[in-house]
Amino acid sequence: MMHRENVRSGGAVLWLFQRVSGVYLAAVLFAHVWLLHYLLREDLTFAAVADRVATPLWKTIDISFLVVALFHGLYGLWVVLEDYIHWGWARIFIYSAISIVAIVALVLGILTILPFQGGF
Amino acid sequence: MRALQRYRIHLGTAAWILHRLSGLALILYLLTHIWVIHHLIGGQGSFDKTMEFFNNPPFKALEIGLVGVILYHLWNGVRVTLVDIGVMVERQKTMFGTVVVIWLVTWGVVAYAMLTRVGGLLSAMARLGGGGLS
Repeated sequence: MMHRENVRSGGAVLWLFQRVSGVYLAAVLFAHVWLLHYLLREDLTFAAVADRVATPLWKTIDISFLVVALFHGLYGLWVVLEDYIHWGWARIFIYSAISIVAIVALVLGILTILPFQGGF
Repeated sequence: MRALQRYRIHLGTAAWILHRLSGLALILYLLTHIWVIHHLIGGQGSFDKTMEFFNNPPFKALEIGLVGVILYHLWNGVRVTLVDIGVMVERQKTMFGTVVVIWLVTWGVVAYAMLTRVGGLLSAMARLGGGGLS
């Protein structure tokens, strides 16, 4: 379980990770929005995205995007909730709930991206 | 001077609260987004049926709002980092003003692009109204 001391000792590394991942997310998000909400001159449909999403390059980009965004977002959520929840096992409960959400979202995202074959 | 100091604290607090609220909105969006996109697993029929729900003016407008939330979090995140590493701490108020300007300008540019492209908000509204844009 993550106690306050552990959070503190890992604090500097996590602080740096939030910044570095923030820069990465800004770059990938820019490409994401540019591609899907500007260059794409039609509605977002299967036909409009399938060929690109099926390529190894985009699978790599999308999975790294998924992992980094989930970590950045859920670690941020933990930092916020940590400020308001001081009761011992309530913190453990919140930390566990966030971890479960992280794993479920990660597995669902990877199952969507990795085996994707494109048009059928 | 005291009034000015209080104002500065209020501004910083407002920026901080907005950073948290935008972050919360974005994590909720991310989880929903992962859920929506997972319909790719079911193939063309499943995905297009899901996207049909979102390919309309209200959601295209919300997407432009989402970009605004992202860009606020992004530019204020840059400011928070600069303050954390000790850059321009004494000129926080000026820096927050700069953040607001950069935020609104970048949001304006992206919003204009999302609004006017074919498949964007305006063309979706025209389509709904039976207009000429496709």
